[in-house]
Amino acid sequence: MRKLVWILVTVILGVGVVAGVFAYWALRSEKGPWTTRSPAALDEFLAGYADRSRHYHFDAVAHFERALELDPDFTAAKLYLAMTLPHDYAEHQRWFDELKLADLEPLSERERFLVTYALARHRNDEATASRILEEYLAVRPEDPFAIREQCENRWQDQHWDDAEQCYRRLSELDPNWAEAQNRLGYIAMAQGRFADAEEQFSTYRFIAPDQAAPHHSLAELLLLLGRYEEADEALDEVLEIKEDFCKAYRTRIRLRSITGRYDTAEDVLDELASIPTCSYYRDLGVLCSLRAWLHYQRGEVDRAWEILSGGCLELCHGFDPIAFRIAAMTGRAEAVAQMKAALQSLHQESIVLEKPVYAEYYAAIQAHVDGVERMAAGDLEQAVEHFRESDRRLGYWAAERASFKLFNRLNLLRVLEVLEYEEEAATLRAEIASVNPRVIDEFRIPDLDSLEKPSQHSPDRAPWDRGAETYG
Amino acid sequence: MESRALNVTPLLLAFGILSFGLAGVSIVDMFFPRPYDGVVLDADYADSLVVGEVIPGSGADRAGISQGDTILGIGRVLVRNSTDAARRLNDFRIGASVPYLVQSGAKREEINVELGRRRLGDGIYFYSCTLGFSFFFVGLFVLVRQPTLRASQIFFLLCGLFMLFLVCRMRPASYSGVDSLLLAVGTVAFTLLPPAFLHFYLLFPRPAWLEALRRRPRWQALVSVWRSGWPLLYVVPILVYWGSLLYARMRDQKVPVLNGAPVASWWLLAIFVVLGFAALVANFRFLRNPRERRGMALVLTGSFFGLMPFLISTLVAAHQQSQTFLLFGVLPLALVPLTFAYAIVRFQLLDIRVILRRSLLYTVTTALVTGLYAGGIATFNALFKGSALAASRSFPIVLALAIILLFDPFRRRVQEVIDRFFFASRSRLERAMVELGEAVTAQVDLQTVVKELVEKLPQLLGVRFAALYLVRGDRLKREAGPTTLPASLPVLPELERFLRKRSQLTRLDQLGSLPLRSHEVARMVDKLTGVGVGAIGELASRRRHVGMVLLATHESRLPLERDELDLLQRLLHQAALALETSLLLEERTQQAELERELEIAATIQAQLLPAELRFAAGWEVSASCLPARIVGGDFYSQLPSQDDNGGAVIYGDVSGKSVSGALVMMAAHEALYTLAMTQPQPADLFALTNRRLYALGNRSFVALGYFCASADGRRLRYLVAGQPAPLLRRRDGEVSELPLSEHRVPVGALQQGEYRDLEIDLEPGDVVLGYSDGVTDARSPDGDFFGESRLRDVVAAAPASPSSLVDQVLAAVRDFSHGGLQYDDLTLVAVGRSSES
Repeated sequence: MRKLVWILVTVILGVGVVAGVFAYWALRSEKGPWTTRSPAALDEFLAGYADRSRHYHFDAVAHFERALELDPDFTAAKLYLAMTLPHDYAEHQRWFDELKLADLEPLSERERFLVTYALARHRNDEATASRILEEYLAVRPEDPFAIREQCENRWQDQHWDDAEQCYRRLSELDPNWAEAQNRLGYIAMAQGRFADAEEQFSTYRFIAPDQAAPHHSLAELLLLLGRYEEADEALDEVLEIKEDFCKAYRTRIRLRSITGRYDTAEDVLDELASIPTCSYYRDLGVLCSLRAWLHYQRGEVDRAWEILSGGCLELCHGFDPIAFRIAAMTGRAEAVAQMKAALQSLHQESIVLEKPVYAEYYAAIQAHVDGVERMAAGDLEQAVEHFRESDRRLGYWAAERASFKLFNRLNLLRVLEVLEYEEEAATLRAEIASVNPRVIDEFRIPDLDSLEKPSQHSPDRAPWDRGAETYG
Repeated sequence: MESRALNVTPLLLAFGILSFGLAGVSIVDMFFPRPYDGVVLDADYADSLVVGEVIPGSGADRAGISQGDTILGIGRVLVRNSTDAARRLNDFRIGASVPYLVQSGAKREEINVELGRRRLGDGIYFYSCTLGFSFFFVGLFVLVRQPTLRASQIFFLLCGLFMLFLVCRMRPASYSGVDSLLLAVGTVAFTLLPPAFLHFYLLFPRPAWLEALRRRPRWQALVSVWRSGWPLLYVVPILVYWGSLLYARMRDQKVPVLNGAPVASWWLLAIFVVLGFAALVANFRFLRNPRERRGMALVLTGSFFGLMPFLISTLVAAHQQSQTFLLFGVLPLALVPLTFAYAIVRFQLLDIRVILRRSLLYTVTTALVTGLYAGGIATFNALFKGSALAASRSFPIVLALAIILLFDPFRRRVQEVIDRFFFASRSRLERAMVELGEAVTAQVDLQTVVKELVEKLPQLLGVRFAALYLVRGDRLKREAGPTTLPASLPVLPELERFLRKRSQLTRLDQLGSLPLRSHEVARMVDKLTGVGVGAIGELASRRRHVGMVLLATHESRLPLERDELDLLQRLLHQAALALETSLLLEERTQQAELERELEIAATIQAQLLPAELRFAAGWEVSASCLPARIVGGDFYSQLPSQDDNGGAVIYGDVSGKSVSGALVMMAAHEALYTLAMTQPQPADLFALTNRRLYALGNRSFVALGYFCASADGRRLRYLVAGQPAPLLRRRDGEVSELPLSEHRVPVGALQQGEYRDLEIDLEPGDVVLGYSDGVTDARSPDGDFFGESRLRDVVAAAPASPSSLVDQVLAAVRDFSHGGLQYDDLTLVAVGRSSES
């Protein structure tokens, strides 16, 4: 009996030792998720990653750059730096070029996946990117980084149900993956489930109250819903947390534009223009476009056009909806034609690049500008068709596009009312009011105020000329 | 047979230990100080934190959390279940203000909750736990008493499951890390409760219905179905449980859940319990024993009034979607274990006899009376609080005196009632034992004592038989008892030591724990168990091991209770003393008889020795034989005379003393004497006698000496076989040993004896002395041997007459030993030529 006990103890000890050795070997051979020889670089990278997920892109870029200073071979830092920088920046391309030359052998499995996947996406090789993602997920089905990419794809493709399912899975794996909550909020918003969206954004804010992004997401939703005061408070929160959170300034400008506080909106615009880390807004023509719109709302049409024509359009790749509207309404046929061509070019480019969501968006914009053009020409019947088409193509996906949809609907409503399509107008009015009960009454689009039935004016006169009479 | 099942007791005990451990964890868990918000979760929502109750005044209550709200996040972390929540709450200190994300209706809001200290379970949970553990201990008691009875096994299973349900499932679910596990265990227990109920009721107290059906041929099929199909009982609830979940899932509906189980499972419980009642009634109908029927009626009543409110309240709760009524159903559940325990004790159901310990009951009674008095004092104080009487200094003294005066009489009154109720039969038994003890002690006759014990004990204890074995030599012999018992048993020192150490009657099944139990003990235990013996006890006084008493099991084949064994032990001490006295008396009587017999034998033996030795003229002969005991092994005898000699004498010393030696001596004497008639030659005589004695086969032999005087009066022929060499004393006093032949092996020692006689010429005055070793081996008080040297001196100094020589030697030996103990028979034979010749 005693002998048996000794044998048993020896066997157990033996198995334990073997298991221990195996575990040690396995742990040693297991690479960390991020490959760098510098712990300080890793810290910087992780800080950068955290900032990126908080939408503090400028801070993230700074962290990634510091990480690369500490370890110039830190491939993951290069990757995230490349992905965080705006696409229009030359640096963005340079880092991707560097990534192409990177030695993937010493990297962890996840890093290899992320690099190869990002490179495929960067060269618009969606088929390869999908294959890489699928292959990796087949091996590591629980890796949140890979699931996140999968979710992002579905999100970008506007496959709302799939995207929602994917983000829910991500949030099940880690309920506190804040980005998932944010996306789930936007998905609900895109589907018109605004109460759900508010719950998600509240949840997002609960998880990360010290971050600006959840407050901002909530502010965007509240702005869309016409809860302007709450949106304003949320924006205060955003800027209190992070005063250079650029999107918050733009949202606040939009808020003030809708509520008619043009002067203060311009102050915000000035403030935004003075923030160095938000310079890309200036570089991309956003600032000048907004400024022109504010002037247009105040009836300062010439000033608005002056701003737009002073280099702003070039920054906007030759097309800007505000500039188009002003040009169309003021009879600047040449500018209209140029912008239509530029838009067409963008649309074509998105088709060539197999970006159906972008193509759809550009198609919606195209329909809208066609509607504006027809409206300016007094052909309201045609304008209705175009606005309807644009409405069909647009959803409440993300704040900017949601606002655009609402804006298009306001155009459509006004045209329907002028044409006395009362039933459809009533329905549309109710629909708009169900989303935002205040926008119809409070958002001033000057050219719509003066819109009349075609029979009541000369078709040769541009609407703005008529409007000019009104505004003096 | 159905009622006796395979030995699954170890499995059941393992289940019991696990269940008890889990229930214990549930209780202990509530005592750990943890930060707590005051929310009691709705246990029916496993995948979310739905508030079932909010403790008034708690942090959650102050923060505005209310019943039906869902907690989504705690401390900036989203939580999915109670385990997540517990982990997160443990990150905070008691008193911390923690942000909560709460869904209240359509509103999702963030609120701050101040964490307090975790509270203990409420009164209802305490009651449920008490009830659960009561069930468990009643079940354990039954299982320990009847471990192989299927009904008691199922009862234990039932009790364990009930405990798990009441302790684990009814616990106020909070955020404890063990919540999920315990609630799941409680749900599993609940799922298995219905079949356990039905199964138990079908077998309780024994499957009389099954026995009745077995006797009817046309119901044989049903009996067969039951025998192989009863496990299906346990499959049905599992199928119902999963089926209802699956059905709801397929229809995309929410399963109505009550206390963790789908309502369908509750309905199933109700159906099974109703079927169980039907089974009880059916069993009741088939039972013939009035005692069993009374017990069954009690259990049926208790179960009905205990379970029905529980079921009704549960189903009402399911219908109302509220647990309020459930509390009214839990309260009467106590009736079930209470009635079971009472029925088992009072009516010996499940073949369990219980002798309540008086001391235990007295302690409980005293505690209860003390409690009553304490309550009385409290009430009294409360009544007179603020009054002038209460303010008086003498008030507490008067009160204390009144209590002291009243306490003891009241306690005694209560105890009398208890005695009458619980201990009437025990008192009767005690009295009977005392009477039997007195009767036994008064007897001195062994057979009367034995008969008294063996006949009365079965009547008093209700055992099937009693038997008494007494120590006789190296074995225990049956003095009284059934002939089916072994006639004798070996005395096993190991068992004897064990029993003596225990100092009480011991059940045979408890001998299994005897440390290092030998094969002999095991064999004996198996043998006795096989013939129905239930307990054994040693009968021993301080002086000696008297014997062993064997008691059968009860008429119902139940083993003797410990209290009964204790009672018996006192009686058996008295019996051992009485038996020892009787045995001593018997032995004394036997000894007296033996002594008398020995005296007769000594007389006979003495008569065998010749009164006078006669040799031819010219020869003198003298002899003497002194046995060491009453009868001895030495002898001498004159052999029949022949014409050619002047006389022959033989002396012998038989191996062994006393009676055995005497008997061999008789045989040898008789053989020698008879053979001597036909065999005058001593060598032939010795050879034939050797053959005769060897044939007796008892390994006895005789040392012989032989002297034969010649007819002419000058020569002496002699033959010595095993005796010391005879001494020759010449006339001048010179002493020498006679030469001996080389063959002198005692007669009867070897199968083939070969002897040769020698001859010596004697002068007038010469004397030859033959003697047995008893002479030289005689001892002084100091332990010295008389020895050959001293003998020679005596012989040399003695007169030259055989008779004087014998006398002188005897006198010298007597002087040497100072009249002390004679260790060996002593024989002297002297033959000499007359001086005158």
